[in-house]
Amino acid sequence: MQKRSYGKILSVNLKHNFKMPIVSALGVLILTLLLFNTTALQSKEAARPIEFLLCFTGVMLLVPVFYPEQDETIRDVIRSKKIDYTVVCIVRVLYSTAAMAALTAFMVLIMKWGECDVGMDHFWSGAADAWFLGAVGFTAAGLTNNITAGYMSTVLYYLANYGLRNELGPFYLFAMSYSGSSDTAGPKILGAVILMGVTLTLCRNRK
Amino acid sequence: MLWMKECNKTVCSIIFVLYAAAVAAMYITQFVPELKDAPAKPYKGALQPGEGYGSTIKEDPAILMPAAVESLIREYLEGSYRTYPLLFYKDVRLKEEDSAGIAAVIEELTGLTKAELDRFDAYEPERYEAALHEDGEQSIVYKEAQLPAYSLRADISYERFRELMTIADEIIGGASKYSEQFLLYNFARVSMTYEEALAEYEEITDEENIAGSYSRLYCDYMGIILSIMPVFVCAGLWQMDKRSRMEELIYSRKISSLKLIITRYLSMLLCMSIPVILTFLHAMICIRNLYPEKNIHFGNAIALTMVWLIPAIMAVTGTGALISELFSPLFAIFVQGAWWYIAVQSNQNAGSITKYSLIVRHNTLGSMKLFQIQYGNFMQNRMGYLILSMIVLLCTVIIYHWHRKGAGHAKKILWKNTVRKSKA
Repeated sequence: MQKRSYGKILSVNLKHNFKMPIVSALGVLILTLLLFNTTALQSKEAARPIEFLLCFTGVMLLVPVFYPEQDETIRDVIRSKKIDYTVVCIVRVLYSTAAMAALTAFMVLIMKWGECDVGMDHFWSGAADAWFLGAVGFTAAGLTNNITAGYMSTVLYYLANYGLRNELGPFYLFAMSYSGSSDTAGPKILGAVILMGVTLTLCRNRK
Repeated sequence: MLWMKECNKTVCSIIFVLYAAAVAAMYITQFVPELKDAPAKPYKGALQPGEGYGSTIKEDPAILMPAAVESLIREYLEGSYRTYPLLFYKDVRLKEEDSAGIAAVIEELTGLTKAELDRFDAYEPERYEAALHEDGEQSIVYKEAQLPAYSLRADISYERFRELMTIADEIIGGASKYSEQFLLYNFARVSMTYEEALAEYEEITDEENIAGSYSRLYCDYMGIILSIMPVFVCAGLWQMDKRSRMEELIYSRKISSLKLIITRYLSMLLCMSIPVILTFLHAMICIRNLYPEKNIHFGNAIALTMVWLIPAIMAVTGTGALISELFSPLFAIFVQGAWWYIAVQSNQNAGSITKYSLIVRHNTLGSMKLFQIQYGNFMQNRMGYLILSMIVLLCTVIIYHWHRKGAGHAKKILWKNTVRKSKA
């Protein structure tokens, strides 16, 4: 019974709430392919398109998790259902994360075909960046209950990375382009999980 | 009354608070450190190896033309052209017919034909090589590139040379070393002498110029943030009407669409200008304190800042309003985000002012001559964005009126993709 409910939530959300985020994320992927050279790059150079632009797929997919409930009537309907609203959000986060990982993997494969020196390090680094940047926006959108604030905070965080490399420590987004290592992927994924967990908990308590 | 209501609505929104925080953060982290110390006067004395007085750009055809032509010949022989579409290196290899186009440009500049270029097989790039001396010691020696013998044609005018460089850049696909944007930066850079460095220092610290020098740097930093943040404020306010289901209620009011949109637009502009005005005032006070002995002229600095930043805020807000009204606020953010990203990545820190880029950069207190060379581009750019912002504002009024009359509702439903009722 429970499984059937989750399946229903998944299918309904994929049908009604996933089109705009996935189209935007595909837009980011296409923009990355158009704007950046993706052939015959060394390992550090190859990390640039992934870290400098593709990370916005996370923003496009994770920030809109709260989008349907921006309409207060929909929020009331959702809150009145037996299934917890947090569960609905978690389902949305899970399929969005899967889509984000798939897009990152696709980009890495394209670069591999373009004879770039890329590997699993690039995938982990790209996915972690996208997830962390998305989590920053997710947190801002959830806490302020305003999706525009979510997008805005990601741009601010992205800009901060241009001048605050040392201050951001393991959460510096362009770490692989700078050092050539994907060591910061773990802390970023952990950071994203914590941010999202705290946000969902606070949003749940707020109701 | 409506004016006050709109201002109140803007200032009280969480998005505006974030906007003000972003402007303040940019100012504090980037510009304020520049105010801590006055620029040091150049030191006259024997320079140690590696020391210098910096470099400057001189638009001197005698320096620029030979350097650019040599580079073009070198890249032709290598069959590979360096481009920087987003300031990231991209290697371009041309097809046969495009290569012939470059050869034609070289021929017009030097008289070297395509056949002569293709026949030349002794090409070697410039490089550093280890050399063994007679005493057994090794050293690193610089070797010049091996190129075919040529000389620049004396009858080529500087204007024709610039045209040929533009043609070469178009053949390569843009953003090459020969583009209008990068030509001076790549080939007209020369080391400064002590006298030149001193002259630049005196020019910066001159009572008439000092505020202008700092305001250029201020506008450089603030221009980056003001080319994106206003769209969030605009989209947030447009979204607010939809969220609170006020659209239809506003549609039914007596007020004209022109008055409503203009009032909303101007109130947003005014509110968004407040953090900029406050930070600018603070900057000017700090400059006053940095040079207490000087009678600083602030008039030019204020005018320059207004010309630099106001068109940016107006254009971004106007475009945001138009796209929000036509499609959706989130789509406006996406479009503006892409536009901003391309603009921010395709600019050098200084010396790359073009007629079209949304962001104008001049990230230095000095290089006044470089700014003066590009002043025409700067003014055309800013006036262009001012006109663009007025056109998009007018379009927003027309579309809003169209929606209000109900005629555009079908299109609105198709395009706006507003919040859909989820069964979840």
